[in-house]
Amino acid sequence: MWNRLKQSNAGMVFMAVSLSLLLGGVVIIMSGNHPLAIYGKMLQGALGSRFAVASTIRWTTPVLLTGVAAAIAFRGGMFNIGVEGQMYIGAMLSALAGTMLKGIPAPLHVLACLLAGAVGGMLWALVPAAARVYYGASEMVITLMMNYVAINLTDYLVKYYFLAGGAYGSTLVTTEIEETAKLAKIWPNLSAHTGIFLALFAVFVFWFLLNKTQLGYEIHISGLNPRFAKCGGVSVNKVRMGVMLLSGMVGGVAGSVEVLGYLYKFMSQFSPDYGFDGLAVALLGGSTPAGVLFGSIFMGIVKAGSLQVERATNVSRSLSMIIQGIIITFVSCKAVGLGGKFGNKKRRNPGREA
Amino acid sequence: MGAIYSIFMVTARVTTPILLAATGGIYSDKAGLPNIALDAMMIMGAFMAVYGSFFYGNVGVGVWYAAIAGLAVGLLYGLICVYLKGDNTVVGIAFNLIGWGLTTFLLPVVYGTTGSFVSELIVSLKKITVPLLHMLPLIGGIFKNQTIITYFSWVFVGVTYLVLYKTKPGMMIRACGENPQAAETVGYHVKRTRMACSAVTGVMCAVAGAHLSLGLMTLFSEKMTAGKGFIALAAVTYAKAEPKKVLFISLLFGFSNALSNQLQLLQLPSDLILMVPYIFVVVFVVADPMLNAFRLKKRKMIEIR
Amino acid sequence: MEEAVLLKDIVKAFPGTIANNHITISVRKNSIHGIVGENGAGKTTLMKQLYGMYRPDEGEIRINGKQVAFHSPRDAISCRIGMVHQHFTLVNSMSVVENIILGRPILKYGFVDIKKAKEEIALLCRKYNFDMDLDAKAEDLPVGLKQRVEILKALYLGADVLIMDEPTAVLTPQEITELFATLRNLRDQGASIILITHKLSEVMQLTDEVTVLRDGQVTGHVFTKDTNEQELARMMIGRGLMLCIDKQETKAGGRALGVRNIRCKNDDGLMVVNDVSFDVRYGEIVGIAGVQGNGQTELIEVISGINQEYAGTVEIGGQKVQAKSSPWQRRAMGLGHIPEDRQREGSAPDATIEDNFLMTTYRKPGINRHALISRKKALHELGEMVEKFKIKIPGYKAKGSSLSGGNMQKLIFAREYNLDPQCLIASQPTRGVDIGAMEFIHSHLAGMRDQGKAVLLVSNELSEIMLLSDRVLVMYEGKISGEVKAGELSEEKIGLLMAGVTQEGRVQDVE
Repeated sequence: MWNRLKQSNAGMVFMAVSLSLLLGGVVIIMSGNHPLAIYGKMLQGALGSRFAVASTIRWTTPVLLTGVAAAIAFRGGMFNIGVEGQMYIGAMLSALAGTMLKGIPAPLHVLACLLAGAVGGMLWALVPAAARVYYGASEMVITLMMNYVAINLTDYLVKYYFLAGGAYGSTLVTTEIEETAKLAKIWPNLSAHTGIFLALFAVFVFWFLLNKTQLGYEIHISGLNPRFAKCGGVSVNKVRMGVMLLSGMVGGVAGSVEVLGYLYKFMSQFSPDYGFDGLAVALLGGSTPAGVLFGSIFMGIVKAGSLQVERATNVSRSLSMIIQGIIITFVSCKAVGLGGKFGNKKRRNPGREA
Repeated sequence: MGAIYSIFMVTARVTTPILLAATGGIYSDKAGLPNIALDAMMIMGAFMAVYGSFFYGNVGVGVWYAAIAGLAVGLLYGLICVYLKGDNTVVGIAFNLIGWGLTTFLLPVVYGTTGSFVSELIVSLKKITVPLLHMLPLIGGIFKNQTIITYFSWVFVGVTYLVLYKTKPGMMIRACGENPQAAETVGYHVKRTRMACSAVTGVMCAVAGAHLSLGLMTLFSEKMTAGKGFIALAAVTYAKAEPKKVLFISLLFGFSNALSNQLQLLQLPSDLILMVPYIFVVVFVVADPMLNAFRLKKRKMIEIR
Repeated sequence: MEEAVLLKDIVKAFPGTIANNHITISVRKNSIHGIVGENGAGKTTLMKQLYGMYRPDEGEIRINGKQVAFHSPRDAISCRIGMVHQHFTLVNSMSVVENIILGRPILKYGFVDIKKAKEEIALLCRKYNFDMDLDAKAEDLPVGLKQRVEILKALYLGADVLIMDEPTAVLTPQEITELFATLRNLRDQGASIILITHKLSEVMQLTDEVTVLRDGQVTGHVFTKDTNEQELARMMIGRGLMLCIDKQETKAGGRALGVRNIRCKNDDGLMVVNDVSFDVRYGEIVGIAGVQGNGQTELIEVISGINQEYAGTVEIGGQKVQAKSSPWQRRAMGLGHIPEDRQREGSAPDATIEDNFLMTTYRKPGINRHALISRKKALHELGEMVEKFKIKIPGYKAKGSSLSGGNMQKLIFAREYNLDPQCLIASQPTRGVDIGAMEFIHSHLAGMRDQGKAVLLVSNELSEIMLLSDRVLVMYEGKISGEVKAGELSEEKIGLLMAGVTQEGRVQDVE
């Protein structure tokens, strides 16, 4: 089923990516650099060495998770813009579980921390979920507001309750987590960690859910046409609650994984917009499992690459944000021009009016 | 200056970006093309305002540049959503990402700094005090030391009300939004109307951004809108794009902002205080439909015999 | 003869189909000209070109002898052409007078001058003998009056050619009579009227001339006085109408569906279903007739389980149904439901055909084990249904929107049939469906009845109700205003009941 869609989708995405790299090139020129040189350095920084590949994996991991989180919600017809906030809550709780639980064997400890993160994220999504399902409030606005609340709240908690001893100056961090809570590294001394496998697993679960399960079908239809779903007996309210909570859960896990695999502590403002990257990836990939997977790998490449570029030139890393945004803009256009050439090959049937 | 007087003063100042952006958003909403990219247009406006003011040493140029930037973004948004059939929620989110990314990206490119740009050379908006009116007890505060943009925003709300409900363009806009087929069959160009409204929204949000970077503060920093565009979005959405309600809700949100600012002076933990405006919006956004839902349930209830 | 409108050799194509294929129609001045054809024949497309909403690919349009090229409705309006659309084009929050002057508001110093507008419109109303409350909000008006506002709108903008697109779809027989009187009046006062319809009886009643379209081409042009319905039908579909379904004598059996004292409110707090009770027995088709908006939609939402806030009881096959039971649970109890709006409630146009079909099967014990779905088995059942019902689909993974209306309706029917329901609710089952599919669905509904199943048919098309039903219940303002048995059916009787003129008391069908 998705093969045909992917065919047309892939064509559109390809065109969108090319166009936005083109526009990105214009932006680069504005900064006084040569686009090809920059893109070249980007690729080098992402794939050119083991260090680069590790960097790419490291950056793909959180975005893959936030991408799945956002995508699950979108499929159910909900706009969870608050993945960033859910991630912070999850990260904080994981870090606390990492430091406060002592003397537990490694696998269990990791599991406990992940659980803490998942529950935290889920709870943070509970308010917007309930508000939307029971009162019709805009979950988009609420989740966005709660991002800011989460960031400030976690800052407050660290500053006044959980500050690491000997923390210097104005860095707000918690104490480092126990060794038993840390996720193993893939290569020693490089940034990639086993969290990537967790993320890949999440994508697999996402795929399995949608295609093989009853709940997945209900989510799919509720997102496409909730009235039809209701008419068929699906409890759309339950589905919506479910996707929001699942989404929050995965968002919380994204925060956990970052703490357990890379940071080893909670750090104030640690996220360079992973949440929004995940949103972008979900939109870019049409909220499909494959789309999210490829999108986040792409994003990982762009991020790792743009870091290298920033080190070597004056082009800031936020170039990646710009490119993302442009891609999404194009992908969301159902323009006859864009769609006609690569997209829907099926004849539309407009003469159905009398 | 009494405490209440200064609260009025501060509230008026902080409400402006929200009010102006929300009122600008009314046009798009009523025309049937809700604009989610308010924050993007605001931050572009803030950026261009500083640019203009810094490089030309003239605050008017700054505001103009902001307006033009807003116009461009608004038109682009309209173009993509109306003519290229983009989904306006998705495009809106994309624009926000682009807006944040682009302005952050350009900081080092244009000014050579990262994080934020401060300079004495940035000319800020003059603080104007209305003679006589500012001496009113308590509410006089709203007439003291405000920027021209603040005063403009009030006038704009009134103008919007008149235009929407008493003039032909207003009828046209409302028809395009409520029943585009109806508008088309009497010969209105729905697409052009929506583009025009998008442009208006863009300009107003950008000018709101100018007030942010040249009025409330005199600098530009990364993502300085801090979600204000979304707060404005919340205001327009819950007011159902009605000017009177938009004014009221924007004031409410602005007041919570002002409160949080004042509380910061009281040595309470700043992080907690910073949360206040956002929590306020959340409470409002939840409570408003909650009350409506209760009313609806009561009306629909049937006693089972 | 003076020609008001000439459409000459009009060609209009869309990707994949030619909607208008060299059509030539001439409309005489001061006449009522009917354009008939079934859904998809090209009538509305043609008229939209006359009103400037589309541009013809080929051909010319002449108004009063002068050739014109319209780029938008504004051009058509300036040539004094007006159109009253099938789906109302009123702005609900505006008043009657605001809606009428929408196209050309009267201004004073830049502001809209409502007072002057009201004066002008009042004059217009007097000229055509209309009695309207100009301050009423459009959304509060009954349907017949809404249509009148549409007509006034066209007249205000100066129309003397009036295009009416399927105007009677939502009117009671009495409102239709009033409309016809209005149209005749307009014609006598100098207007030329083009009536688009697929209802042959109306064409015979009202028009002076008729042009018949089929598959984008003109298949006939006659003076109304020289023709009859059968002939028109032949020109319309290429063969005579199967006007009568062979209704076998059946003996109705036990109670398949029992509905008692149903009451429910709508979102505005109005009681839209007000104490409705009736039965549907095995082996019979009960038809619910009535003008759209009298509670039928809400009643079916209650019975099918979509709306769970109601008072009263529903019994399926003798078992009482909990108010909170879902549509699926009711299907499991034997109650099938074909929803009235195919695109909003009956399908997900963006989902695949497979996913559309799954809706009734994804919880079936054979297909669903431990909350996991076996798509292979579901596809098998889908294949069976597609063959049995001869549904034309491009493929199981094609999008729902690629199906024609008739084929999607067949799919929806098959989807319910697949569950072997004991009682099937069919709501507007042939709305917007081509004649082939319509006859198909009709014969299958009758077939179900003959096999001893129960069918509850809800339709705004009186002819469909009268064709299929063994008993007809008429709904008016949330109540059953009367019941008419098959032997005594007449349009007049039902029409009166549809307008609320009841026989003494209320007919209750309680055992």
